[in-house]
Amino acid sequence: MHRIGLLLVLCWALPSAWAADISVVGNWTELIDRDDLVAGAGSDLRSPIESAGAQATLDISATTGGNWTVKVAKSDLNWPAGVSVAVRRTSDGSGSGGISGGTTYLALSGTEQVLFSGSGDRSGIQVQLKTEGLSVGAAPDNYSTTITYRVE
Amino acid sequence: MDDKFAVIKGQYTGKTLAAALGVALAMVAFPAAAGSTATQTTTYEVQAINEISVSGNAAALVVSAATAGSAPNAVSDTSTTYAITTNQTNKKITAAINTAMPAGVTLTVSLAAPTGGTSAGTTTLTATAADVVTGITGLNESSLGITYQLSATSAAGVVASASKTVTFTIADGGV
Repeated sequence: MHRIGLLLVLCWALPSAWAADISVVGNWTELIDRDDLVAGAGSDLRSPIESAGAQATLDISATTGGNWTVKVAKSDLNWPAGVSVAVRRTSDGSGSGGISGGTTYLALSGTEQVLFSGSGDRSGIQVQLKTEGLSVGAAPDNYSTTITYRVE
Repeated sequence: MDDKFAVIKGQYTGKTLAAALGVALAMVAFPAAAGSTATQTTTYEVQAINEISVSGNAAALVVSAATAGSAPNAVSDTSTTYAITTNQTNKKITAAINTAMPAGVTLTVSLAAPTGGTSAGTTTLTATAADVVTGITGLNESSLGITYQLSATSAAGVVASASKTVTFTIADGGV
């Protein structure tokens, strides 16, 4: 009796456990030097600093045609206080289903936020990044943060 | 013996069933845990930036008068300023002229210090770099005053007009 009950529960649960896959290609590395001063000596660094419009490309697969949501968060490795990083979607990509949201910059934090959503498999979704708040108060160094995209 | 075995077997079966149900229920209750992730790294490298500029050339300094019984009157100019940007710590500004001044003639400079820095005050300019501001750290400021002063002793006599190039440099060190 118990075994029959278990089988029923598992059969109902399995479709919910299917997960879409997400992949990202493209990191962003920016060199900041004297040429990034707004107006030479006496001025600060320009802000914001934006990446190329197609800095990274996201692919979403194994959706079985279902709806999905992409969430994003960052985890700072060595990131100066007061400097923000934001991401936005710059293309719809291609594939079945649709895609919506995420076309305005979303400032990232350590807490997941919804970037965009859609349905079906889609590939070639391009994203752009930008940082704001960088100043000469930040000493010369390499600053990094990891951005994690998650589809559900 | 058979009874004990039967009891133990029954407990084991019960735990297995409970664990399986727990997993199944977790899959139903937390489908988000099955979401896939992808990561990318955002990196920027900030290189050392040390920039200084002046607003222009100072006005001509001409020593032409004196009070009887005293050395010729010194003259000064405050018409120029400088701007500085640095993202490093403990920097200083040095100043030097391209060639030595004639005997008996002295050119001095004094720079206003940016926030947190220390001005050396009136400093005689020579062909050897001298510290004029020290203790500068991570800032960008402009319209900071420069004061030049030219003086001459009576013994210097009449000196022909000449130009000097003053070079300001951001260097390591200082207080």
